[in-house]
Amino acid sequence: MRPLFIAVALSLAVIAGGLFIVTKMGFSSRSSPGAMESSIARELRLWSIPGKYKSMSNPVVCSDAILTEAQAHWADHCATCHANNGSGDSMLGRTMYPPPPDMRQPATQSQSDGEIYYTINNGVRLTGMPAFGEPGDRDMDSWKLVCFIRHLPRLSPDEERRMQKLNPKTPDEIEEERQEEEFLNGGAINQPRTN
Amino acid sequence: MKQRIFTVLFSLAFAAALLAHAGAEHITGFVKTITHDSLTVETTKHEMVTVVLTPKTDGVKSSVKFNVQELKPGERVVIHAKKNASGALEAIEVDWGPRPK
Repeated sequence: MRPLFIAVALSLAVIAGGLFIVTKMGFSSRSSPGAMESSIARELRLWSIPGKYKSMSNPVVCSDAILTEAQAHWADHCATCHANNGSGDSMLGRTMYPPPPDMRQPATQSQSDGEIYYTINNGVRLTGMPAFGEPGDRDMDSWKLVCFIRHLPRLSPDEERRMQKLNPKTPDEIEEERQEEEFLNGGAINQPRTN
Repeated sequence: MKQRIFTVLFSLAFAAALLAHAGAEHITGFVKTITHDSLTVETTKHEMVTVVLTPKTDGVKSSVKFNVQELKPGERVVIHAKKNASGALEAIEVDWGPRPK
């Protein structure tokens, strides 16, 4: 009876301590997950991918044309969180919890084509990653994105610059770009003062 | 259903607004001075703004790369800059010359 009492008391103390920390510090998505949390989450996520995907190869041949198409797709749909270069260093990516991974690194690049496809196609629960494309394992747009993700470690600055033009823009940004273009073309807006 | 559609559209609009420049500032103006590690421009609002130049700063002239040090006072530039760890504006890209259509 006494050990049970001690176990219950300890559990309540841990819960009370946890609640105290949470109410004092709050849960902020500004903080970064610790190494242990990241490691456990990554392992659990990889375990959750059905076995058949682990050995699946990309059915798409990653030609230049496919890469160009996938780049445009990525710039329009994925770069908002993952950034054009896959680093996750975007305005939304920087403050998400968990943050999007740097997909150029081995933690992503060492996954099989099928595992990467599964993540795109099914999303990741309890994160900001939604499920994209048609359910099943034949969504060609997602397989093309696997081609692009494989290319990320070799993405050139010129490619990145081309992708910036394809990123979603607000009407204000479109107007600002128009004004900048007019200015660079020599438009007579707000010339500097002559002293 | 209408409420869901509205919520989705509102969320997308909010996210798009947040994305403006993805945290980067655009500075439009005329080159005043340039050194090996800084560029000062007089903006179109007649304010002096100095940005830090780093080896990572890209110079783009009419969509082709150029060396930022080629800039001369009086030239028109659009600078994409972000605040660095010490709070100074650091140039990511300096655009110069007409943009191709």
